[in-house]
Amino acid sequence: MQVLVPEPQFKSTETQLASRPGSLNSKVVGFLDGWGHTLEDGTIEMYPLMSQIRSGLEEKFELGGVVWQKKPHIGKPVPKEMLQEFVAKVDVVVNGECI
Amino acid sequence: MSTPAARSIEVADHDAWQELAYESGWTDGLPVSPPTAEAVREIVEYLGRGRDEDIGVIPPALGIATVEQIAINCVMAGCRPEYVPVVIEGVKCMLEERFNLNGVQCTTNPCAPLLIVSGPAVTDLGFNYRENVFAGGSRVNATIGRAIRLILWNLGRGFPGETDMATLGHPGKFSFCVAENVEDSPWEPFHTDYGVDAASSAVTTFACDPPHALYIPGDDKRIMKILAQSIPALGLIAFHSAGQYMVIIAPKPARTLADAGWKRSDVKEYLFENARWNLGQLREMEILDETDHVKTHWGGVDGAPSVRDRSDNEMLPIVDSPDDIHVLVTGGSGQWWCAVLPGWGTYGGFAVTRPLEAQVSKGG
Repeated sequence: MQVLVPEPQFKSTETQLASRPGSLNSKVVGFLDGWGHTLEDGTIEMYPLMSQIRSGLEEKFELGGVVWQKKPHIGKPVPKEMLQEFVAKVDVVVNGECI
Repeated sequence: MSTPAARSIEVADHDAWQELAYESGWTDGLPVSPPTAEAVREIVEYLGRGRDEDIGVIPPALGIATVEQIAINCVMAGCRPEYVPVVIEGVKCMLEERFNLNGVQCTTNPCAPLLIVSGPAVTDLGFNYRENVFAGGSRVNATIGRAIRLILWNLGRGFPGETDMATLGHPGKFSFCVAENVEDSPWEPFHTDYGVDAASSAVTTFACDPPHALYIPGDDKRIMKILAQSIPALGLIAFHSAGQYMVIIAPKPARTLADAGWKRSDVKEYLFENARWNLGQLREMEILDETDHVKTHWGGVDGAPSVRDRSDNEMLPIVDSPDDIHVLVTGGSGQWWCAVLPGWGTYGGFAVTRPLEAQVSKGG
């Protein structure tokens, strides 16, 4: 019996993993996350889990800085312009994913 | 006769195929029919479309849904050729941006795409739209729903624990397809709410939880009051993020409502106004954390409405508008059953309706 297999062609995303730095010393770490934590005054800060990761990294490395960007929507990709602006400011990215 | 683009292999018999399908990860656990070259060709010829015609790209793996690959999965599901136009239209619905199929496939939410068929195709193809409508008993319902799932599995590779991160999932992820009971419905066809001509057939997809059944005998006022009181459960994802929900009304309560003058739009409007959360009760229960939008839609973050300046007697709507409530008449006529199917919040999976472009012949 001749069967056709359900294995499609895949659309190439033309995306490769970014090269990894040897150390985070002097690197600017970007946090990209859909979640945030709203304070009493209405301002939003990093989600507690992200804050803890940040603290952990700051204890281990002499970071060059930290940039936090809140995604406009937790279920959709970040708008291209926002992503480009963000990526231009940082050396590495910690990306938050969960919906 | 066109040449298959898909890889072709020889298997000794049905059992050998079945084992190969399991070993290769071509099914989610249920057995699948062998997609023989002949059966696939039969579908392609019925459609009158090119094997390589690209219907879309299925996330998250971005597998290209060619007519041939859709046909292969339809054969595996057990579809007859005349069912396949419905499957293709369902795929197109799921690929519209507001459905956010990538999110639906990957979310921790249990939701699954529900396919709803309405119009003449329901009787032409022989859908079950009466007793047990959400469950077994009909080849066309079961295999079209199954084909959608296999396409999401094999082309999108929504694999549990890898890309499909649903904490619980639900049984509709095996097959989730219903048809409108337009014969016993007192209202215009379902798809007319979404701009499709009443005489046409249509396919709608909506990512949602399984139906939560509600037994509501009585007159129209009683039905609507109990429905409105039953829907606003605090565990609904809508409590965190609004979105949409679907209400199923079986023909008997639907007829009772219609006889009392209710139109489908009236039902939506009433539920929007009355299926609500009482702000004072939420505060009293100490479950409304107004400082953290992780816990509720009502935190005033990202454009969501804030409850900070609202009084305790305010009633908070579950969704943003009556248009975010979908009302479908389906099921058997014998009793007073209704059901609610919560959507996936504001993240996506919103109902998408498309007219069924292809004519379908009467099924067997």
